[in-house]
Amino acid sequence: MSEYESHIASLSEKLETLRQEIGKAFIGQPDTVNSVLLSLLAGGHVLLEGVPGLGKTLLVKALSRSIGVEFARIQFTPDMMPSDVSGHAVYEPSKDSFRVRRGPVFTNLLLADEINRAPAKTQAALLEVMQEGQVTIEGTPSKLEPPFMVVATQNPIEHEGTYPLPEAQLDRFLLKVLIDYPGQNDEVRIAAAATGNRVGDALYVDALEPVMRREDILMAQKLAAAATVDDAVLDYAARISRHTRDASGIRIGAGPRGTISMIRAARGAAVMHGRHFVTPDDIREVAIPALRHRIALSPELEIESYKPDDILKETIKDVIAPRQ
Amino acid sequence: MNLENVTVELRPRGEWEAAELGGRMVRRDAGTIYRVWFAMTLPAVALMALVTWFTNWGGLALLLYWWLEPITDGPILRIISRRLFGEEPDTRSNLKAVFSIAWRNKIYWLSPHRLHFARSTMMPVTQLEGLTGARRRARAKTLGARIFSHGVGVTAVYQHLVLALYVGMILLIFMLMPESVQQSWGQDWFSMFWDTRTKMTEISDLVIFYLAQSALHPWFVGAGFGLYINCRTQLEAWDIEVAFRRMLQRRAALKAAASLLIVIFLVPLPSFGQETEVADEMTHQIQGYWTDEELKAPLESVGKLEELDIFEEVDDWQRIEKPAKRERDFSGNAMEDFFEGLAQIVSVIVEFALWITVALLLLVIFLSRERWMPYLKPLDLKKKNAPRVILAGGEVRAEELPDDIPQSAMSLWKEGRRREALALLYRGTVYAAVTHYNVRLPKSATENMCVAAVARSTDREQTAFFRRVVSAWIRCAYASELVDEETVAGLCRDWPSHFKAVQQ
Repeated sequence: MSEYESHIASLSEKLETLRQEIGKAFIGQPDTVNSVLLSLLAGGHVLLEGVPGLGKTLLVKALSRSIGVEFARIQFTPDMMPSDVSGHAVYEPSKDSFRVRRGPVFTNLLLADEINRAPAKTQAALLEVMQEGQVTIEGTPSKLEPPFMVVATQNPIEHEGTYPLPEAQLDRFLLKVLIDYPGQNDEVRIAAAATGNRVGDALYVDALEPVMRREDILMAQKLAAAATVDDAVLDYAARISRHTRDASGIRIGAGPRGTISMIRAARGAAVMHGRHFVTPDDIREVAIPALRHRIALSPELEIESYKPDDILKETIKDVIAPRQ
Repeated sequence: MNLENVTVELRPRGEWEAAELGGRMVRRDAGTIYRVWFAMTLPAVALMALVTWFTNWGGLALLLYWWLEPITDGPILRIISRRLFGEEPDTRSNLKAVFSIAWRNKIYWLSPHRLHFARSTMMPVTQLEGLTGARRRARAKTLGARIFSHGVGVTAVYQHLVLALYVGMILLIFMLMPESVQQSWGQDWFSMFWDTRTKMTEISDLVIFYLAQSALHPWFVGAGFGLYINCRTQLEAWDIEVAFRRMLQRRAALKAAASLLIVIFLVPLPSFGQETEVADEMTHQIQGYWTDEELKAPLESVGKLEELDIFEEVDDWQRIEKPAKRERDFSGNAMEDFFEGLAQIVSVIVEFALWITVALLLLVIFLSRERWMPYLKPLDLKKKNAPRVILAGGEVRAEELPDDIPQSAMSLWKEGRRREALALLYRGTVYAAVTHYNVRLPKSATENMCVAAVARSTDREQTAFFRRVVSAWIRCAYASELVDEETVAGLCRDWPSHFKAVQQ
């Protein structure tokens, strides 16, 4: 076993520990946790979608606590300005000068709660930060400290007074992860944890211990970036992405960024599985979360209440796996 | 059946006029018909609603109700047919007769013949004439030759109108529904999955369908009956029979009048010779007509349609002589001759084009035989087909694999062709799993999906071995890393014990 492989094996064990630690606060939903973790490994941002009360905020808090990085939260509202996100210059009369007050975006892990409630220009400001990894205040660019990850949430059922993210901005998110209701057993555990000898019903993350450090995360990201991606796997990802452009029922297919996102996320998935190379199974595992927000269904299918996941499942079935 | 009492004018009509006549007959007795209809159907709908409410078979109840629709045809036919021959409609007697009429000869119509395209025109054959078996078939053939297509038309119009009315009523309900409940009801109503609908929705569905059907079904039966009566009028010359009868009646009146005239005027007054000649001529003419006996026989025979049937069942092949080719007959009119010649040229071109189309179709069928031939193979039960295994877009065939897969793989490994060796081992293992354990793999199956499919179809030992092969292969395929020789040797050594039957 090479040194690289031993690093991967060690990282895989740490990630398993991290999953367990997060699971102490965020009960159940292992697929959601995995998606957020592999997005962290790939250095991408995640859009979480789910009805209120499923623990989206708790997941991000638990993650930041477990990896020992800075955490900030922005609750988006319709009157929010771009400067409320990025920061602004404040005049100090005593010094007769301006002082830069940094916004909440200067953190490692940013929870952008209900991002679709903010007006377009505020959304655009955040998405620019996500893309560039830097913030410009009063003409002065400031780099964000890595790792930087945005976990944005949106509510799929309330559309009154919201500003849905346009396709071009959705494209900036590596994955779109859907949070579903927990299973019966998990719900019982959640209820027990939230009501056991506590005032209120909040689930606390104070008991979580940091099992990884910021340096570990940066190293993990480097290891994931170095994972081997065979040409056949690249070809497979590209074929899936291209097939969404030809598939019936899809009005707008995924662009090249869809292919890139699949590869990036698949590298994270491979590392989480303890492998230093990506297989078609990794691509398949991340294909739907990586593509579901990059396609637009035809109006007929939307009227018939089809979801992008339904069509993507069928589309992926049509693409022949690269077995040689 | 006394044609003298027929309450409509018997004359040959166009088919759509006949269908409309049937509709008018229904309208004439709509009150009686609807009383009988609701007495017959309301209990059935109530029963179906109860079944829907207390069981999960709402969809089945609606389907059953729709399927039993022919039962209601009989009582409606009874009313309009009796009225046709002069009997006044009586709700009470019709209600009493419902149960005996409704089920009469209905086994045929409740079988798959329920889906007969021209049921309304053929229903009187079984319902009113009581024909079954070969006699029914012969009569249906005779009538069908003339009115089947129009019967299909009536059915199509009826079904479409019912559908339109049904959908229209649903949409009307939605338009009048408060917005707060519109979305949930809409999703429920138009749910593609029947089992997700609420019972109230299913009962509403049943009731709306029943209302649409009630509005239109008697007219459907009436239109078919009109077509049927018109067809029989033409085939059996009912209109001529009626004309003959009227002629006979007139003749009897003339005979009496002439005798009276002769007694009163002609005998004592020879000067009226001219009138006497006229009267004699009239008498001669009258006497020259058919006698009562002569008229009676053919009139009675007219009623027996079997003798008029122009179809004959032939059980053996007979050669039909080709008619002599008709000489082209020019009319002398230049324009007509031009169009006739043009028509002949066009017909030759069309015939030629059709033959070319047939030839092209045959060619396409021949060239695409590889695609459709496999579908015919399962018909050959003796020959066991090798399942298709698609790997990387290509089909793996048994003849492409060596007889001894592990030995060949090991030989390739030792020759230094290590990737080929692992590829062969993997392909052979997948093929063996498919052929030996009936593992089903979609063409998009990845390695893990193969492992999962094998795990579903085999025991833990086989799955573990398959996993070892896949593990060695993916490392080689996607990481360009080879496993050590001992691993490959172990796989080749264990291979026969897992796929012995395949190897043999």
